[in-house]
Amino acid sequence: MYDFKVANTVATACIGDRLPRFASSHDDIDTAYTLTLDDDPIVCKLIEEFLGVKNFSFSSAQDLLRSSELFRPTGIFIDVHLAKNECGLDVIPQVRKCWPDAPIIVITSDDSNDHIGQALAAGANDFILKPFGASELIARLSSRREELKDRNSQWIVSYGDLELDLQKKILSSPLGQVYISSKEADIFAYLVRQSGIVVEKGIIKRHVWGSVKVSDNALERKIFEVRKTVRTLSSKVEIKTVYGKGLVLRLNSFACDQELLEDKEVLLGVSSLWEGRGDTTY
Amino acid sequence: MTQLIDRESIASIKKIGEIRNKDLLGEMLHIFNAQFNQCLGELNNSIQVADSDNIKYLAHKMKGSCKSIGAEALANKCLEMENLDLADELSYKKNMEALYTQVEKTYESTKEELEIASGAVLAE
Repeated sequence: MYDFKVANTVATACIGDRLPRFASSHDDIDTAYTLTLDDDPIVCKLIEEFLGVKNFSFSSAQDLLRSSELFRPTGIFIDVHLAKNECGLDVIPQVRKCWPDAPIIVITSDDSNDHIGQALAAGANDFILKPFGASELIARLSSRREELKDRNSQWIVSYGDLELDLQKKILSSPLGQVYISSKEADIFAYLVRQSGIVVEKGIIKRHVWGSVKVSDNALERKIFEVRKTVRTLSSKVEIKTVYGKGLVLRLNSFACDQELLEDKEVLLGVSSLWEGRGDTTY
Repeated sequence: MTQLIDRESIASIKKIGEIRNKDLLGEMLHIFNAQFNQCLGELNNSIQVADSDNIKYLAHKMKGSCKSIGAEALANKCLEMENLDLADELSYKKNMEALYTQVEKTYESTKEELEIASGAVLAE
């Protein structure tokens, strides 16, 4: 059985002072792994050894795509030339669809601009030329991961225990996730930005639909859907109607406020700081 | 003139192996040797029937493996094979056979160099 911990420790050790780290502090050491689509076992082995994490290799695009439900890789490497009559570039859009958060790095032994340009246009994040060294491989994967993380974080709006992915239009909480329409997502995101403030319905209309005329009925239907989804996913967050004034997104009780605050304190390590201060007398 | 092996690539693999306390280069060469011999066999069969598509595919695959392991001169020979166009079957076969012999020869000398570099004897 592959020992991820040992592999990652070694990876960190081999990276040392001269090479950048592959696994960032956000990565779970036990679950960091990569996927490689290449029919050359040498390349697959080199990637695994250089990165120091398990690398699952596939020689056919079909097999890789079939496994999309099973894996959440930290990076995907695709060779341009696969088996006879199969080109790695053709599969990039499908791979991107399966793993939108994982950087795709194309491997090639030809330094032709055509291949590199096509790879990037198809949705790859970077390319690497053979022969490649450990430091280049780690550096490219790490920086592309950071870029994707930054880009994706711009699409995330969170409030309480709810998180909205504006790109995928998914509202989620520890209880589950629900796909919502584009307009519902815009309404929720706007309410999050104005959370705690009563917002007039007319302002929501203007913000979400712009100059397009929308009936009150249509707006009410959308708000009804958003409210229903919020109720399904969270008992801590509510959209409250303030009659005659508008809507407000808020945490629905003081107890929930406290609970969420405590969760955040644990995450931030604030609790331990306060424990440490217990001995101090003023 | 192209050097037989790229010492920088070899050193990079060796260094990672040293840090990980294993003979990584030896392992890589073992895989390379097995893979290359298998491809040579397939290549020979494809040359006999002048299957230019398969020859191109195999030559490209061999070139990639060679580059990854630092077998520079051998990678160039494979590239020559990959780039050889099928003008007429007879001359193609003749030129390809000549290239194949060169690839075999270069492979033998590369193997020796790699053995020295890794300090290991490759399995036949």
